[in-house]
Amino acid sequence: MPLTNSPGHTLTFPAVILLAFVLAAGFLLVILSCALWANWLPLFVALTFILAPVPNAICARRAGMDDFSEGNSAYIDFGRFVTGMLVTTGLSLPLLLAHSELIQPAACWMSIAGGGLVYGTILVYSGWFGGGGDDEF
Amino acid sequence: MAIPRAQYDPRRVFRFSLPKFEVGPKTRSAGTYLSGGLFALSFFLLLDAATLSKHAKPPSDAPHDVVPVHMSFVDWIPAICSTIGFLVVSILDKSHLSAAFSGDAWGSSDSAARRARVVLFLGVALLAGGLAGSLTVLILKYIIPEYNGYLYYGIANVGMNGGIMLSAMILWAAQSGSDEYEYQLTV
Repeated sequence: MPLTNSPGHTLTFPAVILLAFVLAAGFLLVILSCALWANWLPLFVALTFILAPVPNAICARRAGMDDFSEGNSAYIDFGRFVTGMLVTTGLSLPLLLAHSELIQPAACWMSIAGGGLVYGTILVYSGWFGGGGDDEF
Repeated sequence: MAIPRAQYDPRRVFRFSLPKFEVGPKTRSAGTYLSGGLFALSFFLLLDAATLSKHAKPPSDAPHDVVPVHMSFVDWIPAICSTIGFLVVSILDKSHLSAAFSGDAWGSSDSAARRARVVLFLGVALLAGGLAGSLTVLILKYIIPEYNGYLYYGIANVGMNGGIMLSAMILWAAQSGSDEYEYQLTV
């Protein structure tokens, strides 16, 4: 499986299958971390990690709208800032919940791992599939 | 007025010139991500203390005692100050300030530069006020009454405000590069 990150590189078929498996494993971990203890608070972690690439996409589109006017990269920077916030939220929310004993420590680590897998899948998929430098995450 | 910036420049005010460092596009994006992460992390520090306080139980050897101290609105006031200060400092357009501080003859009579300086002063004052306020809360609410088991609430508050301040600094340093990196890359 070639790991080249060249723009416009087409996804090979086994890579798609692998990514889908990793995504499913991530969701499995998150849902197990909720369902094993019948406590659905860790589901917020999955929600945060799914939402994490959204601001960059929106802000890149917004900044690309006025392509040849004066350079205003504030939208891109804002998108990056919000992305950093969301990823940190996804990492620290389970730790918070585990610290105040609202969820079990095992559920905390499972939801962090699952959320990381989901976010990593999104990153790798957009890195291969997105191609050009427009929507980098 | 095309005087080259020499070693001796009559328009300078200070003897030492501040080091002017240029950040590349990589550093810029990494600094922005880092700043956002630090911002969220410091908020989660305070939220962690608040959640602990909400779910605090009396000690197990005396289950009918009441928990002596909780986090209240007072603990949130420094956080509010710091957040407003962060927003003010970050939203500010840096180009006005560089014109104001470099003593450029073209930018000196600009009223926008003066307003930018006032707004920057207010923002930094709010940030520093938040940090000082969190120290005040730590000392007056947790150290002086000797709530030693609940010292974490106050320390988390100080850490949160310090983190917001550090995040503002990182964002400022990351944004101090040139603004047109996108166009250097694409065009």
